[in-house]
This record gives sequence, structure tokens and C-alpha cells, in this order.
Amino acid sequence: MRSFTHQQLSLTARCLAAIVGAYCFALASSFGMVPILINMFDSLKADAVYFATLYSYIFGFIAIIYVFCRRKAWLAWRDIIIGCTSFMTIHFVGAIG
Amino acid sequence: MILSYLLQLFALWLLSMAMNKHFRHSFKRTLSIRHAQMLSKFGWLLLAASFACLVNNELAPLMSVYWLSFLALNILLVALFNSWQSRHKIKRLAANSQGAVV
Amino acid sequence: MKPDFRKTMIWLHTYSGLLLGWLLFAIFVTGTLSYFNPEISQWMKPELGSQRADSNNINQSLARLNNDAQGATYWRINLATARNNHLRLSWGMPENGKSSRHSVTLNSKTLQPLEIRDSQGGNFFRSFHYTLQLRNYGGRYLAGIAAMMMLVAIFSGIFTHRRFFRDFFTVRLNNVFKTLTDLHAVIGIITIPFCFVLSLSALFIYISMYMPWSMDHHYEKGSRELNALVSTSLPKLVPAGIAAKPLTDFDIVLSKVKQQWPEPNAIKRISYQQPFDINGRIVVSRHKQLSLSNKSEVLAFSSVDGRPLAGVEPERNARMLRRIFYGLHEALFASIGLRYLLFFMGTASCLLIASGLIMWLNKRLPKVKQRHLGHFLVERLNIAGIVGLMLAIVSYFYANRLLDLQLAQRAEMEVSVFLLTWGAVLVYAFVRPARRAWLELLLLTAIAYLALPLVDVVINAQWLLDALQYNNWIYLGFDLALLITGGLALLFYFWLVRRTQ
Repeated sequence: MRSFTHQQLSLTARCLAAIVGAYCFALASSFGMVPILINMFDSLKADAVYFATLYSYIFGFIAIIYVFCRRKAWLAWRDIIIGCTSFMTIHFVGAIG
Repeated sequence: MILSYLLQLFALWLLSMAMNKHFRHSFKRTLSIRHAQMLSKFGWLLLAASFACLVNNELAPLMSVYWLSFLALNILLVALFNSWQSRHKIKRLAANSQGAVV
Repeated sequence: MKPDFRKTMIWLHTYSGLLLGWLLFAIFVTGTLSYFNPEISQWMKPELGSQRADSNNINQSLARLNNDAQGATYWRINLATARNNHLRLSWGMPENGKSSRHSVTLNSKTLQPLEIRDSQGGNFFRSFHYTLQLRNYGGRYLAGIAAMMMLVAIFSGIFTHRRFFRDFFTVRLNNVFKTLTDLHAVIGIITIPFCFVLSLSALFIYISMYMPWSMDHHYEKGSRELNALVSTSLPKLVPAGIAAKPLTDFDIVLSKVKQQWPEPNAIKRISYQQPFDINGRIVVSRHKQLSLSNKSEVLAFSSVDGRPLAGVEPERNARMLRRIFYGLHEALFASIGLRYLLFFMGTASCLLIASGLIMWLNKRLPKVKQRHLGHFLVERLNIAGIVGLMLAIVSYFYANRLLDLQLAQRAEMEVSVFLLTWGAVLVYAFVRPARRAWLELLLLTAIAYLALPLVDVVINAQWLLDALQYNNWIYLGFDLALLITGGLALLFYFWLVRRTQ
């Protein structure tokens, strides 16, 4: 019985990660990709923002699949948070530079 | 365009024939590995040829949409054709074995 | 949950498909119908008539505009096409600082004004498939979520139906349930590119609604400002204030257009901007027959003497990428053959979703002793979602023919009939035993589809006779499609009766 509830909890955590976490990850990527595109691919700012937003879906999609493949639900959450933070860091660093 | 369509259909049929199960149902004998490899190589080659002869003009993006649509239709056709054929085969086998018992 | 990748994928496929399956089915059916949007509109507005357009009706239209709309701020001619016999003139008259809109629909052969019934035509299906009739209540967000779910379902489906990739091209025909599973898999495979492009482009189309944060952060006015930065358009027209007479002999422009756009019937729309000014401009828009992008190609000419003016620069890559996906989604480039192929793939996707939903239930029902609420819900929603939608669609066509033409807000009434029918089927599905509900509703659907062409003839036989006389294959094709759909429903009904006895 206890394992059953644990399983349910894990499933809920994963679903939440897939919905909320993946969207947040996509959102973070739409910010974080802008400095990357500008500095590494010499894009104009308008192009970079446009492309970053278009590509964000791909990141979101990867996140959804990833969340369901990770061994433990909390690991999935941890990785999503790491991903989000690193993209946002790039965004802030890029904004300063 | 029609040429490409037919080439693609034939290529897919060859590819399906490269699988032992389908080959047995169609030709009533097993398929050697060498033959299977030949069939599949030839099939892929024809598939590439059908794509090349469709895309080889200035409307390449539009034509690749055509090619993919053809692909969808042709896979369905080949799948249905093979299944229909193997069903007939099974029925005939069943009829034969019944005859033998009587 | 076990961390095994394939098991996870199967679970994901099952529940991502089930959760929004009915919604996806409705979106795909109405979206597939939208491939024939102009044709459906043509059938639903039979007053447009079957007499084909004349090639020189541009000049006649211009003469008419010159007569009726002196001093207008713009003239516009939407030409009749092979797909929709709708010739519409519109113009704007300056009225205390603003311009008031006027428009008239003409018979494309005789150029007599027509009184067209108030109906949304095929546009209803088009808007329903992304707003779900909930435009102001987040309908488009819901459709966006459904599109993402579809992507997830496709991806996980590849792993779920792995067996099918191994013995490719096999549909086991000896057992109904196995046939259904295999058909689901084979259709799934052939529609991977189709569903993928459609879902992804659906997400791209409303990108400024689904993912606006980055744009809003970087630009003050958000997506609007960004779009203006990456798009190109004709230079802004500044009226000189010097009066001039507009060009009413279009042949001068037509020969120049022919040089650039050699294909027949290249012109979709002709608009005169500030026709009574010396800086006035003629903008000719091209049919999207040859390019995937949804950017409409235009040529500009002076409205005084027809000399060519500066055109539009090619757009930046970022914008082009979205434009191409938009164009692929709308498929306005498709010629008649490709259109039928796309329609076939759309129908296949609908079958894919429907068979998936039915499989979920049939796999579980024989195994469980005690049915729980979930089984009951899925069973009933299957009925309402699949047959109910077919019935609702045909009820929309019936409403188009049977509602009184003088009714106020007639177009809205037609949509209400669609929704009410659907709701009624939903209630019916919940109160009847499942098998009986399936059979009765299927029979009703079949009869409704088969009877509609007959009802049409009874109401006004002249429409059909005209269509026959002038070879209006759009009208006849629509009737034919109704008969085929009805026939298939009837066949399915008899098959189901035999099967479940």
C-alpha cells in the first residue's frame, strides 16, 4: 500500500514537471538562447529573439520526454531546475556583456 | 511526377520483399541473405532516385512535400497489398490441408 | 513507475493520447475539412451560382467601381477562383476623417449584384479547429496544449509500436482487434511527417500567444514590434493631395504581371490604394500556388499610368522559417491532386486518433471484472466524440439549407445548431446502453448524410441543374462527398450489426 502511494506521488511529481517544468524550461531557453545566437552566430537581435522563441518549443518538448525517462522524479526536477538556471544565467550575463 | 510516384511504389515493394516473411508469402520460397541484401539495396537506391527525379527542379521545397505525401500513400498501399496477399495464402493453405485430411 | 524507457513511452503514449484524444479528434476533423474551405463555402452559399468567371471581368469591375465609388480611399477586387466562385468588390469612402466600408458580391459571369445568405461557410470549421468556439476563453491555448500533446504522442508512439517497424508492411487481417492495432500503427507511421509538421506549425502560428515572454522582455511592444522588425512590406503610401484619375484599363498592368507571373490565373486580388491621388498605387496579389511560404507575393504599380513601382524585399530567415511552417499548415500552395493527398492524410490522422481511443477501451474492457468510472466515461465520450462530431457537422449543413434566410444573426444560429446537436448526442450517449447508442447514432448519421443532397434538390433544384449545366464540379463534388461519407457510415453500421450480434 505504501509503495502504491509512493508511486502515485512520483507520477504526480513527474506530470507536474512535464507541464510546469517543461514550460519553464522552454521559457528560460527563449531567453537564454538570445545571447548565444547573437554572440556565436552573429545574428541581429531581432532575428535572435525570433529564433530563440521558435526553438524554445524544441527545448520544451525534450524536457517533457526527459522528465518521464529519468530514474527518479526528484532527479528530473533537479535537472529541470539546473537547466532553467543555466539558461537564465546566460541571459543575465549576456545582458551585462 | 507520375514516374517518380511509380518508382517510389516499386521501391517500397522491393524493400518489403527484402523481408523474409513477405517474400515467402509472395514467391513461396525462402529468401537467401544475399538476395535480401540485394533487394533492400536496390530498393533504397530506387527510393533515392524517385526523390531525385522529383526534386530536380526549381520548385524543390514544394516537390518534397509531394514526395512525402506519395510516401504516405504508397506505404499504406504496399502494406495492404502484402497483407491481402498473405491472407489469401493462409486461406489457400487452410483449404489444402482440409483437402488432405479428407 | 519503472524507469524502463520503452515502458515509460508506452505509458506516455497511452495517457497523452487518451487525455486529449477527443479534443484532438475534433481539431483534426475540422482542420481536415478546412483544406476544402473555399469549396465548402461555395456549396453553403449556392447563390454564388455556377456560371464561370469571364476573363475580362476585371475591366468591367473597375468600370463599376469608377461609377459607384468616386473619390474612394481604396478599391479592392477579390477575384473569383476555380475553387470558389466569389467575386467581391469593396471600397472605402472618406467620411469625416475615417473611411466607411462598402462591398458588393457580383455574379462572376453577368456581373449582376447578388444577395448572399448569411453564413460562415467553411470558415466556421477553420476557426473552430483552433479556437474551439472559445476564442475569448482560452480556446487557442487549449488547442496549443493539444498540439504539444500530439507531438508527445507521436514521439512516444514510435517506441510503443516498435514491433511494426521490425516487420514492416504487415497488417494482420485475421482478427478484428489485431487489424485495428496494426492499422493504427501503419497509419501512425505514414502520418508521422504530416502530424509532426501540422502540430509544430500550429504551435508556431500562435507563438506570440504561447511564448511571449522573451519578446516582451526585449521589445517594448512585444511581438508587434518584433514582427515589424523582421517583416518586409511595401513602402508606406503618402497621398500627395493632387487629384488624379485612376487607370481603368487594366490590360496595361495585366501584360506586365503576365511577364513576372507566367502561370494562368495568377492574380488573387487587385487593390487600388488612394486611386484618386497622383501617388495612388495598384497592388496585385498572387495566388499561393508555387511557394510554401504564406507571405503573399505582390507587385505594385502606379494607379495613374500603370508603371511599375518598388516591390517588397525578401524577408529575413527567422521570419521565413515561421512563414514556411504557416504556409505548410494552410497548404494554400497545394494543387488539386496534392490537396486530395493532404486530405487523405488528414482523414488518416483522424482514423489514427479514433482507432487509438477505441483500442484503449477494447484492450481493457474484457480484462476487468468491475468497470470503474473511467471505462464508462471513455466509452461514452468515444460515442459522443466520434459519431457525435460527424452528426454535428452534417447538422450544420442542414441548418445552412433549412434555416429561414431572413433570420437575424443567421450565421450564429447555424453554429448554435452545430453545438446543440453535439451536446444532444453527448446526453444521448450517456443515457443509452453503449452498443445501442453506437448503432442508432451511426444509422442516423448515415441517413443524414445520404439525405442531404436530396433535401438540397427539394429546396431548390435549380442549383443542382445549374451545377450540372455549367460543370460546377465543386458543387457536385460536395454532394458526392456527402454520399460517400453516408455510404461509408452505412457500411460501418451493417458491419457493426453483424459483428456484435
